[in-house]
Amino acid sequence: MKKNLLIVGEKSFYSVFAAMFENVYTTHWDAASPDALKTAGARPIHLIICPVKIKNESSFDFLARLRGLPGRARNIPAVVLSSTVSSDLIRRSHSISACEVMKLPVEPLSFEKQIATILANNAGAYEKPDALTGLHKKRYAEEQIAEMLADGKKGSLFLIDLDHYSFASSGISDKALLTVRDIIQAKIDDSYVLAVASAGGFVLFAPNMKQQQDIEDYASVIIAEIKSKIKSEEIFVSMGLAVTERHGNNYAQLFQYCDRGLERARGLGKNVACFYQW
Amino acid sequence: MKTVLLICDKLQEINRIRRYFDASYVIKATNSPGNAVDVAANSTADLVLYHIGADYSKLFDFYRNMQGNEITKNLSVIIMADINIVKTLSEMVAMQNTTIVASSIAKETLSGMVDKMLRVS
Repeated sequence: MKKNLLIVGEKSFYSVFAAMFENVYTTHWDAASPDALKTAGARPIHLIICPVKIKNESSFDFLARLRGLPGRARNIPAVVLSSTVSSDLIRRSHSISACEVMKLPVEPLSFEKQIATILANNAGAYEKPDALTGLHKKRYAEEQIAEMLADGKKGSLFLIDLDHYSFASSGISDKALLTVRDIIQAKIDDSYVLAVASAGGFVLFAPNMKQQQDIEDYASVIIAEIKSKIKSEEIFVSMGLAVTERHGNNYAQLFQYCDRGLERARGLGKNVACFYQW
Repeated sequence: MKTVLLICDKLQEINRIRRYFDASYVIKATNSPGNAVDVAANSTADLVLYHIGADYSKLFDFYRNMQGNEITKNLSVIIMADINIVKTLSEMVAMQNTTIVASSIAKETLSGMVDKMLRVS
């Protein structure tokens, strides 16, 4: 999935960089700096590009305000473009975390490389696959799913958790986790998002699966296969389910319902998958 | 004889710009920026004249392709753009071997510029 760049500034400024990155990144535009992130909506933004002045405001003041907001906004790297790069400008950029000043005009190919480097350096550990399963980590999945939902995709979210009865044991074995991963992977295609959610858990988004019966049947098939392949009586699986529209249209809402569903499933016994409520 | 490759999706503009050049130039034309780099390489063009008007959405792909091709990466390019975007484009972007001019550039100015660029190269 393409990364999202938020370009803040006048339309003409946006148009040049939107054209430059047309086939490389997804670009979003916002002219009014106070609303920049609102315009991006629930979509995860990976980088902000802005001119040194946005309307009558210094972009450093804008970025400082952005860094003060709760949530991910404080970590989004930013590139400030200016036709002159003075020591004062560089000093100001150093006062803002993850902010770089670059000189205009830019050479398209080297600018593209610089942007790719910044994105790679800021990708963080969450974008690196989980060492054991080779799957992406939960935060990466959150972004992917949030992006799909922002694009209007519908579907269902599954929180799949393996539990172990024996507290004396060191927990779920690596082999059991890999078995569950293989079972789920055999039942999905590239349109699904699967990630590790926690030690012993997975999060799965199934696009276009919206009917209660379909979702419950799908969960039952996975549980049945897990039971047949993991013979240990001590290991059991619980699954929380949620679906777009009924339980929410953004990731946070869906996850909340899924998590409650998981708690309810655990309370109902072993190897149960259920919604918190339908 | 020097060959100029003209990229423009409007036939009327192609005909207008053709008349800027005398018989000492071979003018080739294509309406597709997507295959312009292949055309430039195969026709051994000496200079590319890319009339983008107000639409520079394909400009950067064209530029990437030009720079990625050993034959064309050092070719001189003149971008002809609508007057209102010439300034923006010039302030924002510096493309190698590329000059940006207004589409409304006078005939003598453009042909003089091409003469000079080709003489130098």
